[in-house]
Amino acid sequence: MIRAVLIDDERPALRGLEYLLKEYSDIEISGMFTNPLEAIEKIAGIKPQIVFLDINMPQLQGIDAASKILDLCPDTDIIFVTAYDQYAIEAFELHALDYVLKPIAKERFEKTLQRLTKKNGINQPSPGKKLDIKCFGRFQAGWDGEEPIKWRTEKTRELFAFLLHHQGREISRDEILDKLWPGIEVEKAVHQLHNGIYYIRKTLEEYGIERSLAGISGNYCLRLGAVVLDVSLFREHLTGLKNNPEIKVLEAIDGLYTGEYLEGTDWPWADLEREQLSRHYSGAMVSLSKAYIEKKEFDRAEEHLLKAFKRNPYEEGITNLLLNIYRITGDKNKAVRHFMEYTKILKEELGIKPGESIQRIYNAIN
Amino acid sequence: MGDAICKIKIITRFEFGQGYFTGGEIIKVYILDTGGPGLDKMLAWLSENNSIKEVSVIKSPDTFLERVERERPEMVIIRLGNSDIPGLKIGRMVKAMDQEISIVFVSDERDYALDAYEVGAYGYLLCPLERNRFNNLFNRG
Repeated sequence: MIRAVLIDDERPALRGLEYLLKEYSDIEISGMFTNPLEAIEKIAGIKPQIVFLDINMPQLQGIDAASKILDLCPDTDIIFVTAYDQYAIEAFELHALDYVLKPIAKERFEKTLQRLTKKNGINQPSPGKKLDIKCFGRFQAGWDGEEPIKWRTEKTRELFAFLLHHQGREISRDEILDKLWPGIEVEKAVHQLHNGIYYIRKTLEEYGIERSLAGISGNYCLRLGAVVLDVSLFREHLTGLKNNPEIKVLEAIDGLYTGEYLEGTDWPWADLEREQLSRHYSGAMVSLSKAYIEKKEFDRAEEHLLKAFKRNPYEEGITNLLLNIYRITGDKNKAVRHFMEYTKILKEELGIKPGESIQRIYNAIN
Repeated sequence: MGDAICKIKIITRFEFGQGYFTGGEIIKVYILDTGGPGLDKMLAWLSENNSIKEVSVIKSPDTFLERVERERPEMVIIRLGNSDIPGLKIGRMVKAMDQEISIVFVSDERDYALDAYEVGAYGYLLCPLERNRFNNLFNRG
């Protein structure tokens, strides 16, 4: 609990401040005074952590009052609240915690309160909501159930994605410049990089995302706290598969892959990763289907393979397994349809014919 | 006997704006300035202060930001009123980087003190600089 004393010779101003402070449950108003001299008399008895002080008071000027208060209570912080803007320098000399103009703007006052609560070791309560970052499909980040974060510029968004891409690792400044501002004069690019980092930090702050949750440390390393990052989960599941290809895990992988990595972006630095993840996905779906085939759940197996085929039509393994299913189930029509589609795609987009093994299975069905 | 006592660092708590540090700690001070009034005074006074380990003067805002980002000095001093240095903006960027870094502005005008408070600065020095006021930055007032 932070004890606060309010001092202003104008009663309406006192009441206004009291009203503003009402919504901060950590702050207790231990005294309100229209006479600074009286306040000074009583202050030692109250020992507040914070004093909100007006500047222009007939009985005693705020700057002098602050001095006296600090003599009596050296650990107390002073926050000036005044219509006069020219005493800020004196306020600095007194190490006043803040200096706010009347009429008080809510946003500005929130800054004041943040400094206050931080100084007094009162942590902002954890929001209790999850921070969700999706790299599969459309790239977006945001609090669970809320609108995704709107980045200042497309470049800022790309920069964040890039830092995320290298999450937990330190990246050199030059690497970032090279990948995100290729061909731009170094000085100019560095300037833009600094702005970009600044805007990311500001945006995270605006959305109430604390540094412990997502923060950029020196050497441009993005550190994530308890954040739900779909690519991370995806990779974790993949690792878990090595020894034990469980259906549950494979289904989870399927659930996470809601689209290509950073789909719809034209960031060249993401290409390699996108390809790799796509291949991993296909591989996982083939494993999943095999597992279902073993359990004779052919519908399920087919479903997953068709889905994987849509994403990766060129992957031979997928068509191979699909045709095998149709061979087992005796579904000639489906086999023909799929084979035709596969052949067409290969021809139109790659200019090649289906491989031998595919050809063989198809022939076996017919 | 006297020597030995001088060498014992007395730990007292100094408040440093929005951060704390225990007196006797070795600190780094980075200055963003192209050589404005009072710079030589500041450098002289800083060199007299035993708790300060490193002082760097950097002329380019971007180089300054890079070094501060990497090396995280305990305090930065930023010149205002120089058209090559967007001082308040740089201050904001440092604040966004690390709230624990104490930001001190140096200016020959009073006008920016209010903005300095908004940025969350720890100190605002008016030129011509006074030794007491400068050294006061390293104590609680």
